[in-house]
Amino acid sequence: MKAALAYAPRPGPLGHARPWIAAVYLAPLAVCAFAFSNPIVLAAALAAALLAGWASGAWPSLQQPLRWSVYLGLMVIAVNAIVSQRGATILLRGFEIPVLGQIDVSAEALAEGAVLALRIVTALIVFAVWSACVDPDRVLRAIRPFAARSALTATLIARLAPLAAADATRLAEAGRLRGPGAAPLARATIARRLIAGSLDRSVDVAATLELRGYGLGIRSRMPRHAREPGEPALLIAAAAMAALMIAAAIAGIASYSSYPTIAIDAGPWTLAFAASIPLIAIAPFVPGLVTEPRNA
Amino acid sequence: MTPAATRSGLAATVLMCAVVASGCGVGPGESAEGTASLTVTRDYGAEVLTTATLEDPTPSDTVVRFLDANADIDTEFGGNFVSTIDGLEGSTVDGGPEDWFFFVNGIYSELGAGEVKVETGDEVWWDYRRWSEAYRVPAVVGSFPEPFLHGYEDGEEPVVVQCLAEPSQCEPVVSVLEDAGVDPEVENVTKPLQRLDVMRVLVGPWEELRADPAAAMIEDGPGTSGVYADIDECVPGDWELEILGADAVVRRVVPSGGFVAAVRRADDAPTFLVAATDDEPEAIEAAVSLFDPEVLRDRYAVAANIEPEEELPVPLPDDLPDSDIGCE
Repeated sequence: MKAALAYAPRPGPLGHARPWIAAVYLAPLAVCAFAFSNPIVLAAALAAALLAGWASGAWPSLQQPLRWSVYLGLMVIAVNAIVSQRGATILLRGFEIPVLGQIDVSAEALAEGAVLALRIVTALIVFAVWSACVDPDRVLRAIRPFAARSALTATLIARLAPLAAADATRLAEAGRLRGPGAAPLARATIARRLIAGSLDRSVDVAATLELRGYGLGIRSRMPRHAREPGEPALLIAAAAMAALMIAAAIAGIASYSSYPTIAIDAGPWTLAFAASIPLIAIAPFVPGLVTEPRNA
Repeated sequence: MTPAATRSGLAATVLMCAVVASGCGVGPGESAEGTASLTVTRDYGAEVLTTATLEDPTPSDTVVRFLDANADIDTEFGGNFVSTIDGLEGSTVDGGPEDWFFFVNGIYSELGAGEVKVETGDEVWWDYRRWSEAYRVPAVVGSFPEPFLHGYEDGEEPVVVQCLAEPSQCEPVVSVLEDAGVDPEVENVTKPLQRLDVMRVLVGPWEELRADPAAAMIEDGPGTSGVYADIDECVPGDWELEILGADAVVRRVVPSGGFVAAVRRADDAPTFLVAATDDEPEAIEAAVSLFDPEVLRDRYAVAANIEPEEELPVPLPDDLPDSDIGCE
């Protein structure tokens, strides 16, 4: 059984980059999701994150998070339409909902919900790209010198979660092997067995950790990783995106407000700013454009 | 058409019928002819920040939508709580918390701004004020002739002027109401009569008015009555009005004069008090002279001093001087 966000070695600069380089590259996109409200810019940031994931060969790993985040986004739109009683353009009026009272649905509340949804989808996809392209072991090794216990906890969770999933698969298979007349095992039954066996698993892990000397308190050192050829391009792209966003914020372009009526800046500067985000984000992945291609 | 499609169509039709039958509809709804008004002030009405009107309100027009259309606002709780208007945000100033509150027709709303409908003739008043001494100010005089003109609930509450002074002394009050389009009933009484669902205007000396439970709340301070004033009895039958500041500290003393304030007990009808400190004709006249739409406009309450002759907002703004004359 393979987790949806499972990391796999990826081709391209993002897949080879050191964790902090990948973080710096993706950070402007995540910040953009919260710093700007203009849906054109948010869509551009989302497109940039998806392009980066696609160019890194992580598209299959992004599909499920994308689906989940879209469902979540739709829920946010529906909830905001019901809860927010602002907006001048009334589409539906007079729904009586217990506790909330009379509800009017406005176009502006739907638009505000859509912006919130777009923020959520963008942020989730940025983190999904990170999870799919950056080796979690390298991340944990990088933070181990600063936060040993946290790194150990995260390592254990990262290992035990797929282990529990594999155990669940085995238990389900064992249940099916009892024969066609046997009643199918319910999920709750399997979950109960997993929880009952989790203590044994933990004792195994603790014994293994002890054997490997985790309890000796020897301070680990910051691991050194070789510099990768695509990293400068990622840093340049990140710097360019960050500079562009700061400039846009200072210049006051890409403004947006949902209330009292929808007011969106869709002028040429905003469109140019939005178009430049995915273009800059994809640039490090174009062979020969910013850096020499590297074999996966 | 497949059976599934037929079922879906039937379900959609039933849903549509249910929606229409429940009073729901598409669009903002049919507008009612008339105008509603909006006033945004700060510091108990001392400074008017914004005024606006709404022509022909619809069933979807709420207090927050009305405000939203005329000011730059930030809200919480889905628009029910307004935290900022035109950049002025709820905060703590000089140790006192300040925030936005609104009245509809001079009555404090217990509901959120997104839940209160705006109807024809309504006067919506937003005020940014310190609330540490009186979070709830149940009624104010600043929207006069509201709530007498359009009521405070269903708009059909009767209005009674209870005169506890000489009938001729109460006539100006009745005239002002009639000029505003209100048709009040006049009761010449020796003591206030409680009428829970009737909006009353009590006119007379404080010695008589204080027998009314709603009026008597003023003696318990602004935390109870919402009126930033107190009344002390210097000698039996001789009362002295103390005008408080926003911090509920006595700022000015009125030994002889009057005041107009609005009070409300729980869910009872609001009561306007046109009260004199004593039964001298000058004091009654001073109180009655305050009962004027121009004088009451955008005020929580007002007071009049005979010597020196002056009209004073209640609570007393910071820029007006204090006095040190007291009972003792």
